[in-house]
Amino acid sequence: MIKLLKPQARATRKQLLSTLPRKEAALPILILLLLLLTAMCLPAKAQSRRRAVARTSGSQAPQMQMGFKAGITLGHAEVSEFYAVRTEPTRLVSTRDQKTYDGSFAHQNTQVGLEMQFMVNSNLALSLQPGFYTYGYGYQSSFAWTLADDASLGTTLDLTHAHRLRYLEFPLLARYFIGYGPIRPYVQGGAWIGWLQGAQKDLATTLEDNTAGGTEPLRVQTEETLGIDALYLKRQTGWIAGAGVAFDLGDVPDNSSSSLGIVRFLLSVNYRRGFGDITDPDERFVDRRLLSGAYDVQDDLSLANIEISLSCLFTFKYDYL
Amino acid sequence: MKKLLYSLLLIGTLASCAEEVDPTLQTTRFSRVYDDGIIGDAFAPLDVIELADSGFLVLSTLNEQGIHLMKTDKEGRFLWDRPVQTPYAYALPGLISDGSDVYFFCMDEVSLQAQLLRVDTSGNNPEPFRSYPDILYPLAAAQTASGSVLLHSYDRDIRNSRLDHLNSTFMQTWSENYPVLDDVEEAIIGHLTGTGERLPFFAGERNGGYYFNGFNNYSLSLTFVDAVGAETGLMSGFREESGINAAAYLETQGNYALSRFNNDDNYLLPATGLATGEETLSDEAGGRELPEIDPSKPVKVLVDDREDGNPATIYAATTRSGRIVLLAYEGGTGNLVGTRYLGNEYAYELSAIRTTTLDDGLIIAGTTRVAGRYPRICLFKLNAQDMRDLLGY
Repeated sequence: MIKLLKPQARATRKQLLSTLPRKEAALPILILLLLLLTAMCLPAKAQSRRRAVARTSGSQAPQMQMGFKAGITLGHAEVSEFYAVRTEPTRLVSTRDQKTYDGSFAHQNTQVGLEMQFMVNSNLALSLQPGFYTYGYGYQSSFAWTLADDASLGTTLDLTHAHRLRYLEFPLLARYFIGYGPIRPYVQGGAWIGWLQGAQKDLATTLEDNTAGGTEPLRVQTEETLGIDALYLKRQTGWIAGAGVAFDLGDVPDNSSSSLGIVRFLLSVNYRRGFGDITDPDERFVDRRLLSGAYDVQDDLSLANIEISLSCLFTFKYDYL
Repeated sequence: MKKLLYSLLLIGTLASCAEEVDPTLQTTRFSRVYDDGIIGDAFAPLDVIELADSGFLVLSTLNEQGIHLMKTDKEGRFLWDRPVQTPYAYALPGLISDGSDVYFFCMDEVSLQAQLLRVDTSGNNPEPFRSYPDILYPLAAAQTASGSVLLHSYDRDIRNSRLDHLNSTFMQTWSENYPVLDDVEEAIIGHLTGTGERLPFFAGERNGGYYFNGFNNYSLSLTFVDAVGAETGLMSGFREESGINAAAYLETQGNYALSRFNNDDNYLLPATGLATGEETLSDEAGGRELPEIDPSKPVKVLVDDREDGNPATIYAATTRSGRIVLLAYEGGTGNLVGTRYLGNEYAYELSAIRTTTLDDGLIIAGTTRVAGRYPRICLFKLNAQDMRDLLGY
């Protein structure tokens, strides 16, 4: 088993960064810095606000919350158009060179980031969830060469492709809470914009050789990891819809309290789908490592994912119900 | 409510932020391998031409002497293929288009006479269009700018090389013989059947005349002739061991782009003046030695107009590491302006290169060995952006 990151893969990543317009590359970092700055300023402002509300009486509820979010993504690719390097004339025998994509939501990956929630009123909230989201999909391709007078003798090449794509994304959702109390279900929907941070392909190859003179077929397996950032568009958008349930723990702190206040946990299940294809058509037939040997070329496809996440939000601002 | 509206507006803005792509780019660059999955089949392209419907027609040899035609669409997708039935064999690497039909020369494998076949672009068998009983061993064909055709051949009975000029309806207008003074039939049979060295036979047009590369005066030589075929000059190699393996005439500059070989060495002369009225030796022509080029494989050169109006010469060759290399030079100065390599893991070998009219791109045909073993047709299509990168502007 050979598992290595080819030098070319690292070069591709460097190339990508150097070719991105400077403004384009700086934008996600700038947004993230602004969010962190906001997060650092909020506690001071919230403290002042708590002192003010303590002078009054009445019921209070979280209005602005911020915290962390983590979870998994279960994904697959939706192909809109197939492409091939190896083209098989129709008069000929082999039918094994079709790509077969993995089943729905078969690729599990992770997500981690921040979440900021602002209650517009007692039921409706807006949630911004910047973070790193990793998606995956995969497919198999097979090639066969046989002797014209003895189809049992031949060479077969089976390839398994597993792709992982990491985006820095900024999802914005409208969230509607149902009912009242510390446990509240909700539905939500929104959209995201994301910037590709890296893409990798794990390529597993199995060559079965029954034509080179051995008494038994020789089976050779190899694995390698390739950087494939260049094959994808650098910016991506999509939509999200889902539901979840929120649990509130703790109370509104008074002036002398050192408690965390109300801490909200949200367990969400969402369906995510890109608005368009993620493949960069201008780079489709450029990667010579894949075009020769693996005879692999990127199809036009979009990503579909189910995400399951848990958020933990701390309250920085309270308001009256 | 106002906040909600703002948020929805923001979500809508996000949705419109997807990276835009130019859909035309998808159709103009591709890399394809045409593989029938049968171990015993060996394909070797001879030429490729762009058709009126923007698709491509590839002429190949199948299992050494057989002829194979294949058509693709403009994105390189397979449409049909057609093995040509005997007695037609040994097709020449020169597809000829008269604007509506495509023709190619081949040989009757029994009589050795030249035959002209017309391709049926719908995929039926090509039909015999004209026979040339007095032309034996056809070796190279080229179409001139005016639509006439040059056909170079070897007459084994009188040991002469021969050049025929055909008009646009493929009727002979003149014919000239050039004495070889030696029996080179064995070398020619080896070239045709693949049992010997492949020899760089070709023909072309220059100001006020023509040239052809073939046997003349004992050796492989670049022979310059006037407008009716009379020999004016000669650039001689040394038997089959040295000589010219590619040439193109740069009309606006009045000079030539040459590639020459000497045994295992290959030299490029991207912009050189030639004494077309004298006898010279190719070994004394100089040039830049490019050790990466394999001189036993075809070398091709074509002239392409750059966007700035100056011509560029593009060499295509097979490297010793089994890739196809493109080298672009300024036509006037001979300065190298760009290189590009095609192929990677398995061996690739150049066969033919042509410019495409649809998008000012380039189509390159070659042979690749799928699974490292079985020779198959491959096509590379470069688009206008690739050409700008290659030609350095």
